[in-house]
Amino acid sequence: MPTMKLMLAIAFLLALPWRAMSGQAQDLAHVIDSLRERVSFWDSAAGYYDSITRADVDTVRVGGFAVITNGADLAAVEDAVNELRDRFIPIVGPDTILFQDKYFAVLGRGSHVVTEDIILAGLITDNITSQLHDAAQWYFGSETGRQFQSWLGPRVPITDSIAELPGIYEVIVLSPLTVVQRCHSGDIDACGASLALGLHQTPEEALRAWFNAADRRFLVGQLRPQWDYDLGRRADQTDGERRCIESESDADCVRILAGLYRSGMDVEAYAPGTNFHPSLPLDFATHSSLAAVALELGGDGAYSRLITSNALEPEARLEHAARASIDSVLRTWHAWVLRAAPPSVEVQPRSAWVTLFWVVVTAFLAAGSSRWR
Amino acid sequence: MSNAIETHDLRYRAGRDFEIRDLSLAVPTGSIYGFLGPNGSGKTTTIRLVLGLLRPSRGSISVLNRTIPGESTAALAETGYVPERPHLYPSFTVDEILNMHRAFFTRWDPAKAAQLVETFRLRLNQKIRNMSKGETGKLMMLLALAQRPELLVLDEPTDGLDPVVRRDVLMALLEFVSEHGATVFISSHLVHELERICDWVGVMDDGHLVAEMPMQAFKSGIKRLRVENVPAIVAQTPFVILARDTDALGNSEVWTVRGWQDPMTQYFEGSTPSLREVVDLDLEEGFVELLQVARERHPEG
Amino acid sequence: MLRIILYSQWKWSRGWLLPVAVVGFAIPYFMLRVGYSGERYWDAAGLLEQVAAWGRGYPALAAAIGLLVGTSAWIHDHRGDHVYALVLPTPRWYYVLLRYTAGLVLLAPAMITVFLGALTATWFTTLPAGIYAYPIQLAARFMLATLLAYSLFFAIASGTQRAAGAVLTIVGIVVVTQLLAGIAGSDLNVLEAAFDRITIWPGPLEVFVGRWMLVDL
Repeated sequence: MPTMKLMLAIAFLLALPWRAMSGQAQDLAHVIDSLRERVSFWDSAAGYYDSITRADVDTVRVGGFAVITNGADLAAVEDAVNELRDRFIPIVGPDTILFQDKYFAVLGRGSHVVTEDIILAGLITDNITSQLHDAAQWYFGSETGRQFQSWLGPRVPITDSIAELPGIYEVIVLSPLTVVQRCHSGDIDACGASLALGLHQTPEEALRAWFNAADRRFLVGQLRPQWDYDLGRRADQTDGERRCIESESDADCVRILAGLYRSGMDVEAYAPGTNFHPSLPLDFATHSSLAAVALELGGDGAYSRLITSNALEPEARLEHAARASIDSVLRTWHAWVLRAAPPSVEVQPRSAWVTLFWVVVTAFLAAGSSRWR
Repeated sequence: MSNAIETHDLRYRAGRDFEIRDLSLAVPTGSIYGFLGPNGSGKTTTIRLVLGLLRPSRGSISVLNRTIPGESTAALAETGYVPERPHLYPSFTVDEILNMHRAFFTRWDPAKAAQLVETFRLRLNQKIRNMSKGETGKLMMLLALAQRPELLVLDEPTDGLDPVVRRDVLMALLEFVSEHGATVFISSHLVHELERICDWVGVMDDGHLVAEMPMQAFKSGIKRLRVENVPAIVAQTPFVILARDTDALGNSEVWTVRGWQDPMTQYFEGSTPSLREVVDLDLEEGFVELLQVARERHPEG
Repeated sequence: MLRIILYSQWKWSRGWLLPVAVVGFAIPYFMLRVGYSGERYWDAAGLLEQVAAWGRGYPALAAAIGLLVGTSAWIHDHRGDHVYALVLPTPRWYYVLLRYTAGLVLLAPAMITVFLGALTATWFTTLPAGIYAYPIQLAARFMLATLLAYSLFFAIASGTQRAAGAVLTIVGIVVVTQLLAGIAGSDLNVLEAAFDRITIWPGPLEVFVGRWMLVDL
């Protein structure tokens, strides 16, 4: 019997590593399954992409805008393209040749959206217009070149961006930065600074032009919690932050923001997915709205001029597109933004009177209600 | 003698199958007028017309010398109304409904109200929805009486009440009438009840007024006469023959007559037909006879 | 007379007037507190969205109060076929005005609590730069909307069944026309046209579609 117990004990001890290994194997199997699923998905997506690019039979084109589809979604894609046609033709104008034969968006069966450079999965195809719209902005954005994109952000505006001006108004009014508040009050130079025109300056010069010392201190203070989570904090930053905020050392504030500016202005760091750069007075959407105004002012061919311009500075590009001085573009933008202010919260007197009128009318109708039941 | 309620040639159509037609009634001031009629004869509709709750398509109404509906507000201020179905707000307590009435009726008599609350043994904090049928009936009578009206319009006020409650309600009514001399217009199909208290009676059937007369004339004037040797043509009689029926043996007739007075026996003396028997009818029998006659005359309704 | 009529309507509506008043007081608090996580200016846009989203509760609350006060004034008279009211020695129009006035008085607590709620919530909240509080304007809009909703529902409820039927018929005709147009493939949008007609100046419901912002730019 002791022998039996000994054998059982040995067997138990031998089984322990197997049990552990069995758990690891299960985890591994999960990982392998997951990888298999992903490979299978990408494989089918790539195969799908290949098949539809080879069979160029279901291609919908608007100027240089070409959408390849497998045919299942052809009608929906056509509708979407036709819907966008009115928006794009006035911008692209006669320069359609510029974008010809570039497939920037391919909408496929199910939930796959394939672009020329990247394959995105999981987007819904029932909002084809919105996806095309999005894709066009990204595509045209990439055409403008990296230098301009570092000011504009990843997306190039289309005329519909004008519709976003109420949001821009909100951003400007809500900004605590002195320079933006001055812009709101009508200081056009301050508007230029708020919109980060002057990227050709050194970061330190730009930061001093855009913000006053209080703004810089405010920015660093506001960014502090973000560094902990999003941006990562270097060990040597803590002392600088303390000096900037608590000792009000402006030099430290400038140094911190300039460091951030240098590391952050790489467009790749923010595109895609973000519309905010922490060391700029206003976000990229606001810059985009200025570009939209320039395109509107420029009329036919404005888009081509914006994209093909050799100028490096954004103000020169905008002037080229708008065929107007940057001052004029800024004034127009300022006027349009103010015009986009939301209606007042107050009840207009005429509204109040109309309401009271109807109150009296209905009260009279009630008073005249019949006694005959 | 003036009339507390007067209608002339009143017409009102209620739905497809029923109509008040050519209704002319007169309720003498100070009388207790029993408004008789079977269910569905138009009593409640007539009352609602009188109070200005319904608009007649033709005819005129006068209540306490005020035209209805033009002067109904003034007339209603002096009219106590007990409807057939309870009309009070069920969520109110007795006290609350008394206050409501008090606010609207300038002739409201708080002492009378308090006395009737006690007489009827009502609890002031009781909700109307929790009251029994008898209690609700007493409350409605209380409200009508405490506003010291010139005219009381009571639509089946004792219908469904037990005998004790009925007696209480009628006693209160009679006490009020004896104190204030108000006119009472009371509808009911309980004929015996009206027989005891009314001095005038009107009978409705199928939307029209069949008869209207003093109660005494009604009670004593309608008789059943057993007559023999009836000739083929009966000469003009001093009374109105409402109906003639041959008895089972075929040798005599039973006449139902109206307007009978004892001296009229002379009509039968020395002539044919000959009178064998005068049978008194009580109000209910008279009422039934009247209705039968009316229905024979207007078989289409 | 007004006192007893007011008492009757208070009795019939007090069960929900208190909760409604609490809701009216609480909305501003939630407007400003839920989802508001600080004073950083990039939160301000979120705050405005939050306020706009909660602000949709105000017209709904105004309509609900109007409906409740307007209809509760009549529901007990309807149940008794108006007999009690019609045999009171007072002209019909005067009785209606008594009920109307009593309803107006009952609207006051809801209006006041909304105003006090708005005032309190903004008083105890430090708003981001560029955002201002508009408690008086919001309370004024709420007052007008509640008044209008009340008046409208009161008028409908005071009418006869025939009058209510006429209103329902008109609404039904609009809806059926829209359905038929949809079936026929027509672009006709009667509902939208009707909605525009009543919500765009000088439409009666214009005050309902305004901006219900307790705080705004």
